[in-house]
Formats: sequence, C-alpha cells, structure tokens
Amino acid sequence: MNAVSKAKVAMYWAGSCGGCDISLLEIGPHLLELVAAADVVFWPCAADFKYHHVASYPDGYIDLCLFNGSVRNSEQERMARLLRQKSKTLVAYGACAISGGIPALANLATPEELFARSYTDCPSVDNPGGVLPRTETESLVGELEIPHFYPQVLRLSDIVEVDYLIPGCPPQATRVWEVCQAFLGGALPARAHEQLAGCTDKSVCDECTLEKRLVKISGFRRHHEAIPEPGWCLLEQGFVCLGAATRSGCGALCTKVNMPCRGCYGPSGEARDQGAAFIGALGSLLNAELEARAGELIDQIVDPAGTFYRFTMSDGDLKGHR
Amino acid sequence: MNDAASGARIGVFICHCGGNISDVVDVKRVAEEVGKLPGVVLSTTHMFICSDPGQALVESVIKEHALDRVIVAACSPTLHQMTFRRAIERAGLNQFLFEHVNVREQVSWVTEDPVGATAKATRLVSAAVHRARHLVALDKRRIAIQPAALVIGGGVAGLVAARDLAQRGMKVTLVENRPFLGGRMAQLETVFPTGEKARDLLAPLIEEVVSHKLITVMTNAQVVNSEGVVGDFRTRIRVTPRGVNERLAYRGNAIAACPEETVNEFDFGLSKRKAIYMAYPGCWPPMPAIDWHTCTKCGKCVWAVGGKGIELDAEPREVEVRAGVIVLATGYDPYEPLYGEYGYGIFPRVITLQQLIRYLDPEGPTGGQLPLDGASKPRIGFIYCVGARQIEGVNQRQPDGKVKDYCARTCCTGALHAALTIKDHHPDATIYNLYQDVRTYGRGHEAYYERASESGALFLRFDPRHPPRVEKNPRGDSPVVVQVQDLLTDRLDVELPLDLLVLATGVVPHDISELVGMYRCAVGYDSFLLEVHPKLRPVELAVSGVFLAGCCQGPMDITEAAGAASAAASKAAALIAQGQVEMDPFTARVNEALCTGCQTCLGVCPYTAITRDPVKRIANVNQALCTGCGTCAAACPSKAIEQAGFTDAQVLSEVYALLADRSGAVTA
Ligand SMILES: Cc1cc2nc3c(=O)[nH]c(=O)nc-3n(C[C@H](O)[C@H](O)[C@H](O)COP(=O)(O)OP(=O)(O)OC[C@H]3O[C@@H](n4cnc5c(N)ncnc54)[C@H](O)[C@@H]3O)c2cc1C
Ligand code: SF4
Ligand code: SF4
Repeated sequence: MNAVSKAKVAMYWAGSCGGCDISLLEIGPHLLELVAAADVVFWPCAADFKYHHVASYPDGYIDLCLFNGSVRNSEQERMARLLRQKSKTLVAYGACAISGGIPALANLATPEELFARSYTDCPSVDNPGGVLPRTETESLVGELEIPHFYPQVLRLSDIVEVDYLIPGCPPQATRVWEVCQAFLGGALPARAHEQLAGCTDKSVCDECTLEKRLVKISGFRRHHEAIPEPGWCLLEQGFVCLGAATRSGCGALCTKVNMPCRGCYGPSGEARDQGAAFIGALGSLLNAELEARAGELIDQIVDPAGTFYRFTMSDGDLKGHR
Repeated sequence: MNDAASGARIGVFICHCGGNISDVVDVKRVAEEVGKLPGVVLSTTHMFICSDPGQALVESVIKEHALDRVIVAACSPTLHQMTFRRAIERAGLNQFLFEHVNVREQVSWVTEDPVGATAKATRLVSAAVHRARHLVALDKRRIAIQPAALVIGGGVAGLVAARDLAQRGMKVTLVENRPFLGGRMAQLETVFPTGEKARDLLAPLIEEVVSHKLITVMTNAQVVNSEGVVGDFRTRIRVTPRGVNERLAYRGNAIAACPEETVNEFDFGLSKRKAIYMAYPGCWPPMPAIDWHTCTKCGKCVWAVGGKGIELDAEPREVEVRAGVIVLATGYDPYEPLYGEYGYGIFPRVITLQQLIRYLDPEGPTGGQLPLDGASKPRIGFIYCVGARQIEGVNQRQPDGKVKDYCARTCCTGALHAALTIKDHHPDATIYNLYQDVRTYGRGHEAYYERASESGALFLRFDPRHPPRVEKNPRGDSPVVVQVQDLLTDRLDVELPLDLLVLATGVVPHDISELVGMYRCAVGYDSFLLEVHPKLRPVELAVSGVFLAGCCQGPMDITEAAGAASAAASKAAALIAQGQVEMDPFTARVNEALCTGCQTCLGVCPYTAITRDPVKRIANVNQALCTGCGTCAAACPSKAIEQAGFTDAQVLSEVYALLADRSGAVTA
C-alpha cells in the first residue's frame, strides 16, 4: 500500500444469511474512516459491481477481500477462485466461510432429501407436479443455466488458500474494526495460513462473569423451558452453553443476557473439533455415576449434532452424511 | 505444541527373541521397511536385544550415530522397557526419548501367519517412528517419603503389621473403627492348629502394640477422606468419642445401671449387651465404650459412677494423619446365611459355626454350654461349605448378584476343631459331618480330620448339586431332620434327626467400599482386594504405596494373616527406607495461554490434583498428586491441558501412521 494509490477492499456474500454484510456496516462511523482510507472495489450488497468488473481487475488488485458465506454451489466456488486470484489477502469472514456455519447443518441430509423437503414435502409447499429445480432450463430467451448444487456445504478453505479467519456469526463489529485498523496500519501481513483474527486464544468463559459453583449437571433444559438463575453458570444449571468450548472475542454477549452460548466463534484453544471438545467436557460434567444415568441425561439434549456442531459441521470430524 | 519434531535421528532395533519373534515375523524385512522412513538413521535386528551384548550394541550405536531417539521392537514393555530406558541413559540420552514396541505378545505369539505378522509388526514399528519424532526429553519426578505408616484395621493382621513396622523404627498410626482391638480373632475360643486360647495369644500382641512408643492407636476411628499419593498420603480420620475416659472408676456399676439393651454383635446375636459395654473380657482399651446408636443419654450411668469418667456430650473430632505408606488390614465378615438356607432363620437350632464357637467359649454367652435342650446323647450335624464354593444355577445368588464360588479355607478345619471340642465336653455326642470335600490343607490341619475320624464322628459326602435338605422333624423327637444323599455309600438316602445343626459358614470381605474408592483399590471377582500379582507381588496393591495384610485379601487363617501382615510391613518399610519415590513424568500440564479457567477439569480429576489459581484465574495441576491418568486432558474443551508423554502430536502421529494406507503414506 502506498500513499498515492489507496488500498482496495472487497466484501463478498456467498452461502450465508447476510448477517456478515450487516456486521461490516455495524462498524458505523468507522465505515467512513474505512472508505476514506481505502477504495471499495467490490461489495455487491452495498454498491453496484458486476462479475465482469472483478474479472477485469489485474491479479492481486484487491488488497483485502472479506469473503463471507459457505460454498454450496458452482457459482460460489467460481467467485471464491476469482477473488482469491484477484486478492492479495483473502479473509474467511464469519462462521459460514470458516466452517460451514448454519447452512452446513444441511450436511446432515442428502441433496435429494433436502430437495424433497423444500420443494415437495414441506406442508406449506403447493407443488402438485413435483417440480424440482434443474440446472438447465429452456426459456424464451434460450437455454438458461443456474449454478450447480453441491452435495455438501464446503468451507472457503476447501476451495482456495485462505489467509485469515475472522470468526463469529456474525463477527462482532468492534473486533472487525480492530482487524480493519490493523490492515490499514499495515500490521496485517498480506499472506498467512488460516490465521485467526478478531478473537482471542481463550474461550468464552474467559469473558463470562457467571459464577461456577462446581456442581454437576443433573438435567438439561432449553432456554424456553426455564428462566436461569441470574449470576450462575448456565451449563451447570443444565442449559447447553457451549461457552467453554468456544473461542472468545464476542465479549460473552449471549451469556451476559442469560442466553447460553451457541458456539458461533468456533473451537477454542487448540481444539480442532468443537463438537467433540464440548462432548468431552460435557461427559465429565454430568451428575451420573452410572452409564445408564449418563445416557438418560444425554437423551434430554435435543438435536445433539445440530447443537454441538451448530456452526462447524463442515469443519469437525463429523462431516455430516457421506 | 512444543514437540521437537523435525531433525530427529532415530535408531530402530528389532529383536528375534531367539526365534520367539523371528519364527513368525520376518524381522529383517521389518528392519528394511522401517529403515526407509525419514529420520531413521539406522534400523537393524538382534538375536536377543535385552542381553548384555544387545544392550551394549544399543549403547554403542547411539554414540556412533549420534542417535537422539531409540525404538526397540521386542517383547512386552512391562518386561524390558526399563532395561532399555536404562541402557539409553547410560549412553547419555534422556530415557524418555525411547519407544518400546511389543511385537512378541501382540504379534508373533498370537498368530501363525508370517505375512500378516510381518505387515503388522512393520506398521507398529512405523507408527512408533512417527511418534518418536515428537518425543521430548522428560525428567522423572521425585517425591520424598514421609517415614510413617498408616495401618487400617486392628485385627491380628493390623496388629502384626503395626508392630513389625514400629520394630523397624517407623512411626505408625493404627486405626480401628470398632471401639476395641482384636478383630475377629477375639471372637474365637481356642485356635487350630495349636489349641491355644485365641485371646491369650492376642493379649501380648495387643500389649506390645499399645505400649510401643512409635505406635499411636485410634479406636472408634473412621477414615473419611484421603488425598495424596505414595510418599505423602494425607488421610482424614474421624474419631467418634468413646464416651468414657480414664477417670471412670466403677465401670461395672456404670454398665449395670444402663437400662438400654441391644443385640451383642460380638456373640453374633446370641446375647444382649448394654449401650455402655465392654466387648470381651480382657479387651483393649480396658474400659467400656458407649454405643451411640443405643444410648439415649438418660444419664443413669453417670449417676451410678458419681459423675466421674463418663462424657455423654463429647463431640467427634477429626485429625489428619500424614503417612508415606498405607497398610489395609480390614479383615472379613462371616457369611450370613440367607433366610431359609438350610433352615437358617426358620429353626432356632440351626446355627452358624461362628455362633457355635461363641457357645463353646467358657467366657461366652452360655458359659460354654451348647443349646441342646437337655438331650442326653446329642446328635449334632455340620454342613460344610455354606456360603462357599457355591455353584451358579444351584445356589441362590447373593444380594450382590454373585454366588460365593470361592473356598473360604477356614471352615473345614474350624468345624472339625469345633467338633472335637464338642466331643471333649460331650463324649456321648454323635457328630455328623456333611461335606463336599474336606480341605484341611494347612500345616497341622490334617490331624484334626484324623482325630475326628478316630473319635467316631461320621462323614457323609454330598453332591453339591444336590445339597442336603433341612426340615422340621415330623416325629418331634428332635428339632430338625436333615435329608442327605451320601456319595460314600453309593447315594444312599440318609435321614438324620439332629439336636443341633451347625452351618460351617464361609467368609466375605468386610465392606470397605469407601476405602476402595479412596485408595482406588483393585477388587477381584470374589470382592476381596486384589494384589498386583499373587506370586511375585502378593501383598501390594496396584496403587503404589498401599499394601494388603490379612483377610481383606481373601480367606486366611491366623498363621497366614500374620504372615501376610509381616510381609506387608517389610515391603512397606523397604519403600519408606528408600527415602524418596521416583515417578514417571507423564503428568498433565496446563497451557496458561489457552486455559480460560472454565474449571471443567477441576471436577474430573480423580486425584484432586487440580486447583484453580485465583490470581491468574486458570487451572493448576499439582505435579506431585497427578498420576497422569489423562482424564483432564480429554475433558478440557480448549485442549489447554497436555499430558507429557501423550501429547496430541505424539498420539495423533502414531494413530495416523497406524491408519495409513498400505503404501505407507500418512497424513500427519
Ligand atoms: C469360623 C472361623 C473360625 C476360625 N478359626 C480359626 C482358628 O482356629 N485358627 C486360625 O488360625 N484362624 C481361624 N480363623 C481365621 C481367623 O479368624 C482370621 O485369620 C483372622 O481373624 C484374620 O485377621 P484379620 O486381622 O485379617 O481380620 P479381622 O480379624 O477381620 O480384623 C479386621 C479389623 O479391621 C477392622 N476394620 C474393618 N474395616 C475397617 C475400617 N474401614 N476402618 C478401620 N478399621 C476397620 C475391623 O473392625 C477388625 O477389627 C477362623 C475363621 C473363621 C471364619
Ligand atoms: S478445562 Fe481446560 S480451560 Fe478449563 S480450567 Fe481446565 S485447563 Fe483451563
Ligand atoms: S492427568 Fe489430569 S485428571 Fe489425571 S491425575 Fe493428572 S491432573 Fe488429575
């Protein structure tokens, strides 16, 4: 980056809900500082850029590309490859890009099951002909082709080399701005290998102020079933809180308002597989001398795979169906 | 991870074991294959790598090739891991830069397929190579040993162990949870094989123990909690007040004045005793104790002795005892027959051998008289192996779901001894012995069988699958009648009207589940405590520093219990004499940068080795207490705990190598 030409930044939205784009907007007034210091050269959500604009940039033209969303179809893969080619620094922004996020929960089902559910079986669908999406369609203007649907939800790093990971669903604005500042200040080396940014090395418990009483869990409850006792560790109260197995950086936002941590920042410390790490811890926290009792307790947890791997289904050892 | 992964210089030695391994495994081939792996500087075989020349080879090769990791593929590590650790240390290498692979017990001895065996051996050794790259030098932990012992149980075994330890100059604390010393032996009358009076034998032993200045005796004392490991066990002991102190002058008056009575367990329910009582004549301590379950604190005893020497309101106290070693001597309980088992509980004249011995005791509940209801020529039967040598499917299961299938070892000679004693008092008595086998196995025991036979006692042998039946005598000329099919007379059906039927009952371990949990003792299928090895390490538990004495380990007679106690004492004393224990360095360590202080690990450590550092707000592992079980490392959701010797890099590299495809390609 030099004084003459401003830095070029990009933000792209692949397989995700859009919350990540909002989280970038959430840096608020800092957005003005960002655009003052850098040119936005691609951000489909905020400005009108087309594919051919990006394709026409020289390789490595973009200094910092924030890529949010998972890769579920051929268009997303194509964009991932294109942006990698055009960017000096490629960031997997948010849980979906890093580890599949919520969309990757679909990995527990096959594409056929997903299509059946979405286009025929769902009670609110009226599709007497059983029409399913097709990749090629004849239309008045000729044959149209829409992107191919992949059998699995993939991470950005399954497709291309990724330099940085900014975790969160979505990443917290204050943390995002810290990373932007580091970038603008030249403190972020252009190339890295999946290095975490915008978070800490510790787990959410580090920032959480609820008190541990060192009692074992005697039963599980969901947060619509009971009101937690204020001030007391939610997990010990039987609310499945993934805080202990989740990287911190969010400021323990959820547990501050008595909501159990859902695990959106991904595995903490040196754990690779967040679900397995949490299960390992949970097993030792149950108030159960006998295996049968432990089994009864675990049976109280609704949708364990979706709960423990809510944001990391593409990442962990449990890669969904195969 | 702080493993020293790259640049390793690995030497691999594969042993023929004189053909034990090489007859099945193509060891040359294994050496060749493994030799191709990166980092392997040398890969060779040897006829007997554990031999002196074999070890010398390892040492010289280490120096010659500047090896920094050594792998030996040979027999089981339990056999020779230490041999090679020492050898590589002599060559100047840290002993933990060593990997031992078992290609004998786990490969050559379990298959005859040379191709499969060679492939498996190759894979195991390759995995060790991958793991070895991540090994780091470690230092053994050294813990100073407290020169003191804690003996739990004040029966003959505990008394002998305490005495022997004190004789070697060790400080001993002897803890007995009943108010009086002596254990089960005090309840016997005369003992086989010497015929001496049990309590006459006990008295001088107790005297020796209680007067020894190195021994502290605590009665009415229960172990409530224990922390620590070999060298420094910290045991909390709760002492229930005796209710009586030395100032009590008129103990007879106090006992007589007490209005509360209860079943006397010393006589197995044959008599009653007061709430304030002495267990037996000549017992130690020589003063009564109050049984708080029975006492109503009415104060009559206090009044009867003029207020001196009785404390009805004393509070229990807790003390901590620090000891380098523990001797468990918690003994046995007699087998209590199930209701209706051979008529027990239904017919009052069906009693146990323990009860018979109490009846025979001149100082017992009846002054030595048997309950014969005046029968002039009494007919007395014994059924052997009651609650012993039971058969699954024939005998009713016990409350623990098992049958007592072991031999109780003391009842045969015990019953014959009692039978002879009866003969002495009632020469005209007829004795029937209904047995499966007579097992008078011990030195001098056979004489009891011979003498019983000579005395005219009758022996009827029954098939354990068709045990005798006990019924009410329909003719009414005796309390019970026993039907038995006698194998000695070709299955003749015999009917025996009896005035007294004695069940020669076996023994079960005294319930010490809380101690088993506290000291993590191994327990056998028979529920007795389990030694490390019945022949080579017969009085040691697998938990380092905990020893076994007497009947907590299985049925024994006094001779054997005392012998075991002496053995335990000398093993314990030898350990203390070392001054310090060396322990493997495979402990858990917390990575401070990653630990969040979530405290998940605190509750899982079975050895309470983890505490929370309140200042840093993270977990802290006490290296002396950690046994390296690895539980916390598995539980930590942030993988902030690493177990030395079993780091993720070490374990995973080994696992990946084991799971690699056949071409040998691995993923990590
Ligand atoms: C019917 C019968 C007849 C026998 N006759 C003979 C014989 O004639 N000759 C012979 O050599 N052997 C005989 N024996 C065997 C003899 O009784 C035992 O060998 C001997 O009593 C074993 O002694 P011990 O110290 O191991 O156990 P015990 O005598 O059972 O002593 C154990 C002591 O530990 C105490 N204790 C238990 N748990 C705890 C705890 N948690 N904390 C503190 N203290 C505790 C108990 O109160 C008890 O005082 C006979 C056995 C039976 C069953
Ligand atoms: S479980 Fe792990 S993170 Fe939690 S306190 Fe223990 S070492 Fe620290
Ligand atoms: S490895 Fe962990 S759980 Fe096991 S003893 Fe050591 S500190 Fe305790």
